[in-house]
Amino acid sequence: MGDIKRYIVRRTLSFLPTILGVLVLTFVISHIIPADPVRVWAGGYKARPEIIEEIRRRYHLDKPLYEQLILYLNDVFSGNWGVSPMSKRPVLVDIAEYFPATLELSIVSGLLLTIIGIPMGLIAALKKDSFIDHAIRVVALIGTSAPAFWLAIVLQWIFYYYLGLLPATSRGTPPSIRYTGMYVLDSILTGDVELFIENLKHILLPSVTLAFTGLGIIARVVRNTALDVVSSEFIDFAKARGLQGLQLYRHILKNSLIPVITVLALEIGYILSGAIVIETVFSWPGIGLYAVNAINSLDYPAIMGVTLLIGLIFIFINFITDIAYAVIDPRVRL
Amino acid sequence: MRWSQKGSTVLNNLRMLIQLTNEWKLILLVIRKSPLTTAGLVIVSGFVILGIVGPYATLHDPIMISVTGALKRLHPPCLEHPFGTDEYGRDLFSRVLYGARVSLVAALSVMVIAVPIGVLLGLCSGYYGGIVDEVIMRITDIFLSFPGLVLAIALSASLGAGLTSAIIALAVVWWPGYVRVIRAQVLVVKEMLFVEAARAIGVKTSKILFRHILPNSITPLLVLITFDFGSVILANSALSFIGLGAQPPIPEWGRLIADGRRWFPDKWWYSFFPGLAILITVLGFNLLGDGIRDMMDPRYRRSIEMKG
Amino acid sequence: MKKILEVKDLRVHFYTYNGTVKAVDGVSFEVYEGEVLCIVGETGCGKSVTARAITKMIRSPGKIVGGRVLFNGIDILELDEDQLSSIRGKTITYVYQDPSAALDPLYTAGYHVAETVTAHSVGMRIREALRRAVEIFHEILIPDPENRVKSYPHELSGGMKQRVVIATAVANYPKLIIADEPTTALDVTIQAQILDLLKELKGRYGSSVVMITHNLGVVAEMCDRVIVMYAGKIVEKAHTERLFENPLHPYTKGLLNAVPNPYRKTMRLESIPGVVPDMINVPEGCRFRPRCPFATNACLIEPELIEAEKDHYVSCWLTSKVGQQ
Repeated sequence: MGDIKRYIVRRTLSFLPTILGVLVLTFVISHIIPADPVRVWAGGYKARPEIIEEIRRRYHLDKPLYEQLILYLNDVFSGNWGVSPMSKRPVLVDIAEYFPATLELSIVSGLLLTIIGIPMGLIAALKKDSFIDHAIRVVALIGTSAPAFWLAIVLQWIFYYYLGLLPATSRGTPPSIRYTGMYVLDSILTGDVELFIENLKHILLPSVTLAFTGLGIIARVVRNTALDVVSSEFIDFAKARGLQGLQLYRHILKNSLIPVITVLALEIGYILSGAIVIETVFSWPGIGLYAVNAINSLDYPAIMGVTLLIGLIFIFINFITDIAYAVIDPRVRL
Repeated sequence: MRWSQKGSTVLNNLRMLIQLTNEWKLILLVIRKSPLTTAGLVIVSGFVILGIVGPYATLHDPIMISVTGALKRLHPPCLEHPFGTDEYGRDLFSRVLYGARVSLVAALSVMVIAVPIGVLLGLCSGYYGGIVDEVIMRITDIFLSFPGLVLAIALSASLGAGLTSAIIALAVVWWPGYVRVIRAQVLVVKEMLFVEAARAIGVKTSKILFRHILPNSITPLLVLITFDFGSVILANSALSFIGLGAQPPIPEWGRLIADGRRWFPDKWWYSFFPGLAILITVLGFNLLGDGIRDMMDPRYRRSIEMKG
Repeated sequence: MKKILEVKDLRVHFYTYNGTVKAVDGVSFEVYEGEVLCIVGETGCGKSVTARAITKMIRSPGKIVGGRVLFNGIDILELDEDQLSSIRGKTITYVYQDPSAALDPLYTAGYHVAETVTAHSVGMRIREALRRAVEIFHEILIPDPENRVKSYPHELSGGMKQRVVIATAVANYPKLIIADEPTTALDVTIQAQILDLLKELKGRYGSSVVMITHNLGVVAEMCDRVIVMYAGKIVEKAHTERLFENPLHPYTKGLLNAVPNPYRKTMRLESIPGVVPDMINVPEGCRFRPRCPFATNACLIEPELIEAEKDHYVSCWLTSKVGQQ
């Protein structure tokens, strides 16, 4: 286990430059803006020069670039992600308000993805080259090829407009006590069954949409991994040693974990970026909706805040994945 | 001496020709054996052809709003307008057809920018190793630290809405994938005997890279490009769906879906058909990519050759 | 001597796109208590398939289509998967060719041995079994066994890994060890050590060994009796010394002329002309006919395996004619 501790320390250190790089990248992106956002924030062409100057100063736009970068880094680390010109509030406060909705949506989609995608892949592997295998492949391909926002609209049309089974927009009703800001979880925690069902109904369409687009990739990876592992020499040898049942599955499962974890981590990225686009369709008040509104009103601090947040989340997930690799596979720990 | 050399060149060319015809035979065989790959090829060819000739082949003007058209606002699909009409009475079929060109241009431009950059950096990174490799891979890692679409959205938003900025944003997001693939391939090919031999007899580095290493990395490159063509079309439509990318009156597919949402759910055709166009096009590229990958996989090749 | 295993008319077919490969086509032999039996032949002659078929370890597209494998009077090929598992790794064990591929990279060396022990002893905990693993590591001369059981396969050398594989094979005091080219994947310097170890363990545990190899040196070093296989069939079967002194089948002669023979002085090494036949379109009659320098029209009919001299069987028209004269 000492190996693993050392590995975690080393990995943490090697992630620091990446985090720094990501910060520099977001800084660069927010400084290539050709349109003059200051003028827009100040109220368009009629804005008074003093006000423009004032805004310029407040956002340090009058300083040289390297100084701006240092100020930016300092701000990011001290929790000052800028003030959104639209909401007139600090971006981090806005994000704290919108993020639980996105987190909830991502968790539910991720769960759906895992509990449907992995069995789908296993079935496809078990019934290799059968009708079911081909059917799963086609469903998978359609999932990866369909634009999520269009799928969202089609599902709304079927389940809301045509069948009248599920609500098409909004998150439902917030429970009386806010524990996590996630309605479904909070309604369980407050013990409100009716509210739980209502909120679950609301989250169903958006989460199914997001999950469906990634289902194919998971199922394919699980299928191919399972086939590879089962036909490997060490499983053959394990059988030759008389292992069966649980003892045998232990080897198969553990060896299948790494590719599956890799693709799951990748899927979280897809879910997050998918959420940005489809939240608008479902009027889901998460950071996606926040970001799209920000784009339409040229609210750059908000856009960069969301970008940075997702980048950091993604780095964190990659970090966790790397550690999971090391826990599973001793060869990684070197 | 010279004569025999010439003879051997002719022989070599002949051998290569035979190899090439065999390759084509194999490809034809795969197409025969795998209807899905064939479907992919048909869709992709159809898309490319429509992208080129589509705008000239439409019965109605896809962009201009005509006076007579105003009488037919939001008309449901009929014989004259198979995809219905939009709120200005424009024929949606013509607009979707025109959209094929926008998607084709966008995806092609992204590839033309991203692939050479990625390939070049990948070649350098893999071949030189050391500090060059370290720097290039670090930068690549940073770009890969974002989910692609999120970075593209941020960039495109900063550059200002428009097709050009969307293309630049997508190209910036898509090159790192090629660095990874080419680098991995170079690391394998580099150790092969013929490259060592070329180096030993003093062939120039640039020649080794482009004449010997790159051609051997073509297969995974081709597969990746095929898949990415689809992904870029998908990402581009997502950008224009949220208001970035191509601006009206240019009929971009994602934009059409967004415009159609205003009339949802009564005028369902407005959003439905552009989305179907995206789905089918991207599906075509994915099917083709799958097919090419299978074709290049020695295990699969063997089974096909055995069957054939 | 007591027979512990009897293989009768074993047939294994592989169903491929091209057609049916009769990888093992009517093979019969027996293994006596405490002996080492070698099966030699070129790659693709069916020797490995034969070895795996003994405990029904044949995978699709392969299928055992006929024959019997009698072990302690029961036909193993009639057993169900549960019963087979209780035999595999306990009474009949395997040593695979490539230890790097045979060991699960995610588990320690000791765990491989321990789980093989617990799989066959009801109620034994893995912790107890790990102590047994240390004992076995000690017995098979793995240095520093207490720490080596905690090593992962990638931390061990090829020879060490093969010792771990052998440890799993002897952990449950087997009656029969089937070693499928146990030294082929190893360094030449390690090969002799592994062979010595197998010989010694065989004596200590009183097990019989079936050794699959293409290396006649290994045969001379290890084996009491030899079976020579060619294209899915047995062409010759004899005691090792007899086979080296007096090979009867042209193929065996060819094999022996291709390597320095410890029992006979040869002037120069020769190779056998031609290649192993395409196993789908097997030559009619004697399968060695196309490569055989002595082939006649008689060889268009398949020869039977007959006893040419005491305990020396051969399947060749040449010998039977010699026998008749």
